[in-house]
Amino acid sequence: MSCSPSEGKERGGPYLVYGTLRKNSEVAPSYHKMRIRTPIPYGDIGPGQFLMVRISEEPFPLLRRPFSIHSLRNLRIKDGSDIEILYKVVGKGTNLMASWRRGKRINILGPLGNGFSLSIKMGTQFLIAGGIGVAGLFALSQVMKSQGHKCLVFIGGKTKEDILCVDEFQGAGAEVHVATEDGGMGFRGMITDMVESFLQNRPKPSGLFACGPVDMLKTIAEIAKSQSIPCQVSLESMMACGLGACLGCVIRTKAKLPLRSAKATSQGWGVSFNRVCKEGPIFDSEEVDWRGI
Amino acid sequence: MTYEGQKNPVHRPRMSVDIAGIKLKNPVMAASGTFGYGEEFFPMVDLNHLGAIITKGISLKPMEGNPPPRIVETVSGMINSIGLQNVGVQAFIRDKVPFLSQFKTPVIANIFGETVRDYGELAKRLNDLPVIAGLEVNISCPNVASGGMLFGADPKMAHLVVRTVKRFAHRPVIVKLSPNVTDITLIAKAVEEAGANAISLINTLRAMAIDPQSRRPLLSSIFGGLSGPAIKPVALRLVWEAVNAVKIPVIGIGGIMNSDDALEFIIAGARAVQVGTANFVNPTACIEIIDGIEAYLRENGFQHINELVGSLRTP
Repeated sequence: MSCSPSEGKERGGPYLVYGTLRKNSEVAPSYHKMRIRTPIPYGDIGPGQFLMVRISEEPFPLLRRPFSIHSLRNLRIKDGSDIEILYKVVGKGTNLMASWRRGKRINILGPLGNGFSLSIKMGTQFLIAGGIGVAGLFALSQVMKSQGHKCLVFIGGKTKEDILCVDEFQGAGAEVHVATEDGGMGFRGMITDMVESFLQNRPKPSGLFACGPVDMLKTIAEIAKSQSIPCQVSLESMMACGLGACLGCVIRTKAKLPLRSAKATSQGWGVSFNRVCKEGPIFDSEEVDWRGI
Repeated sequence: MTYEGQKNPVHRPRMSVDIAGIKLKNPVMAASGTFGYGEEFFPMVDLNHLGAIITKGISLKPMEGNPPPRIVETVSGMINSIGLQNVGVQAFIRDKVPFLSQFKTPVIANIFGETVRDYGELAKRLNDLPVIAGLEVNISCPNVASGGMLFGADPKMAHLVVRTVKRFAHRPVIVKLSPNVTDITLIAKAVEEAGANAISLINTLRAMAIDPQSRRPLLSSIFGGLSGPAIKPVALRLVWEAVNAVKIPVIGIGGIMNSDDALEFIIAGARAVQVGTANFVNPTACIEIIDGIEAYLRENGFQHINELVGSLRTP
């Protein structure tokens, strides 16, 4: 397979490669973490990007599954990196993945998507995760730390079983705050309420970065707008190729029209469809048309 | 190809095919809508190695497509309802053609119209581009409100669309047929009579899926088109029927994931094949299929791919 970096991009890739499973274990009930040794150059991966993992060589499950790059480590031996993905076992694909053992060769495609923009004002950043959404933010906290930002990480879930990675974020130097809907851990209530109260009582952060359920992202987007804080959100969608070809994963956006089509089409929404896999998965919250999501 | 100077010259079967005047170095093409405009798979896939690239469906005006959700995975397949989102012919020529022109691989433009007149106009607009080796007329998209499958389900309408395209096109015309008809041979014969140079089939099968918990359809448009390994046996039967109904070349499409799948279509009588959904699962599927077909020919003593076409041993 030829996998030379494409021209004109900041980063190389995507690469279609085999990685080797180093570790695959349950970190909490129904949540698993997998570490894959890959030949993907460390420098070609940015926080917020994702991988498409081939689940099976059989016709079912057919499609690759997208996973956020949770964390990565430079192997320092030629090119290569250890990539961790954090996943929740929900269906046939993730059930199969949970059964994989150390040493298994895994067909991966990545890194894909735009990743978080790090052209941001230096200062305090709020990272807001709902449930498995922590998977999309940990690598970001690592990079932010190395760049001198202060990270406040907010993790929300239904119960304490849904709160992951507190130690990891703390280990990366972040200040972690937890909210659970049943009050089993940390603040009782929604994580978005907790973020709002922090915004009232503390100096304004430079930016908000959110990954989690759509309702949470919508609320964070509203908060960001009302307080005029720049906000990047990580979106999910059903996806077939991850390469921008199938056009299956689109969401409605207000800006960055790839089609120049808003005026040309009969619907006249004044918005257009952007691919989560290519123009995303990270979007400026202002740019997303939340009505259709 | 010559192998002079090689120590042990290896017999290499010839893979080149001629589809209605379009010369392909091998019979494997990337199907419309599954390979973007080629650039999405570059440089992971050596585009020069492909038989042909069929573009995403092109319409006269840009089309926004259907609202999400647009895809759902089903057993051994997927249902899509993209709704022909595309940049339109003007942006295609301006933004996509320069990239595609760098390669030796023939590009076949898949064209879609909401009216018969649209098809003729598209053929005209694409005439002067050297990189466009042929047209594939889409009269089989199940996911649009007007045009598309409506033309492909009626032999008279199909005839009219093809005759219109043929009047304007300077390039060979392939017509892509829908499986969602009672008798594929009627449509195949109608487009042949209208002057089609080849037919390709099948487009996706109309399908749907429901989430029992919410009791909602899993696609915003309720229906979509089923593709992937699940549809291969149906596609193969339809190709076989079409091959026996017309004299023009038939291109086989439907659930081809590997070279054995492709060989089935070729043995049934397809002169070439298109690989679709497999590109999503395995971006280098086309290349692996080309290599697999060549290996099969070599191992089974065929000199040329054409010897295999329609070689089905019927009882």
